[in-house]
Amino acid sequence: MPRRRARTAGAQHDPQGYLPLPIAHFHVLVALTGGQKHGYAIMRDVDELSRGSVRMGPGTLYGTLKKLVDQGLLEEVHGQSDGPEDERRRYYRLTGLGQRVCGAESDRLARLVRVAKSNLRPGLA
Amino acid sequence: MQTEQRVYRKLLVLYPKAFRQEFAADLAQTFSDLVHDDGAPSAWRRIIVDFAVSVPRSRLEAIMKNQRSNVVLNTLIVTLFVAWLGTLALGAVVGLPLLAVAVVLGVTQRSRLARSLQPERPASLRRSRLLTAAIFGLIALGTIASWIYHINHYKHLGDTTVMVHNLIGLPTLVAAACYLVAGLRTPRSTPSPVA
Repeated sequence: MPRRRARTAGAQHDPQGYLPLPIAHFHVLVALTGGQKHGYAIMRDVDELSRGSVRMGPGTLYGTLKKLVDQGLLEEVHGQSDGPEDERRRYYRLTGLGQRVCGAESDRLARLVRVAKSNLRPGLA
Repeated sequence: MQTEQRVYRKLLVLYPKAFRQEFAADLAQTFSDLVHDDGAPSAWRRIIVDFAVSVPRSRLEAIMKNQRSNVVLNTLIVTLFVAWLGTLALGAVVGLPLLAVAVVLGVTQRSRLARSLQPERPASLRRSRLLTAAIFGLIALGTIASWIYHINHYKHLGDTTVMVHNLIGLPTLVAAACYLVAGLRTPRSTPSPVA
């Protein structure tokens, strides 16, 4: 069970152990590849990235963020707000491990898409 | 504060207390942003679906977090299993319910759902495994001590005595070794995030 091993024995830092990522987790990680964001900005980015197919509410969003922080894929950033209105907000950014996991999941999905295209439309892949 | 804000804040009571304490302000802020950008009807449609999904999940997570620790459950499972082996060694079949309970507990404890709902706590996981190893080790040592006592005090050992000692001693010794290795291989804490 590679997933469990990597998540509990986190010091191994093996991104493959976190795969496949739940769809909401992957969207949040991708949203944060553009830099640190607060919760609402992440939610909006996920809406846009998924073209509305993944619509997270606040409860799902913060549950997901908490889980990703616990796993060491994200970290909270303090004192990085752009304006006084944003000072109250909690900002998040990818950790090094989070970046590697996001990259590994991207590669996995890309391979899968290549196979699907190749099988569905031979000669066009 | 607008009416919908007050209603939303009241509804947050549906979430577990720990989650509420940590994220209530963020949840309210996000809801406020949603109402501001999308309008109240659209925001509420999203919120209703969100509650339906996230409230049961967070409640389940809270239940799993508060349940008795893995060590206690694992010890209970092993004790029931050993008790069943004991009744078997004595030729009794009345121990089958013990095995049934041990299996049910084991499957429940080790199920994918249970593991996915348990919080990630490598530090406590390490302690838990080492403690389990210690418990198994003590049982194994006790069995070995009992074995030595029997050899020194009795000329002939009955089949039942031999079987009981083997059935208890060997599995617990192996389990102790496995948990010890697993515990030592578990990191002391979560990896420190690298920015």
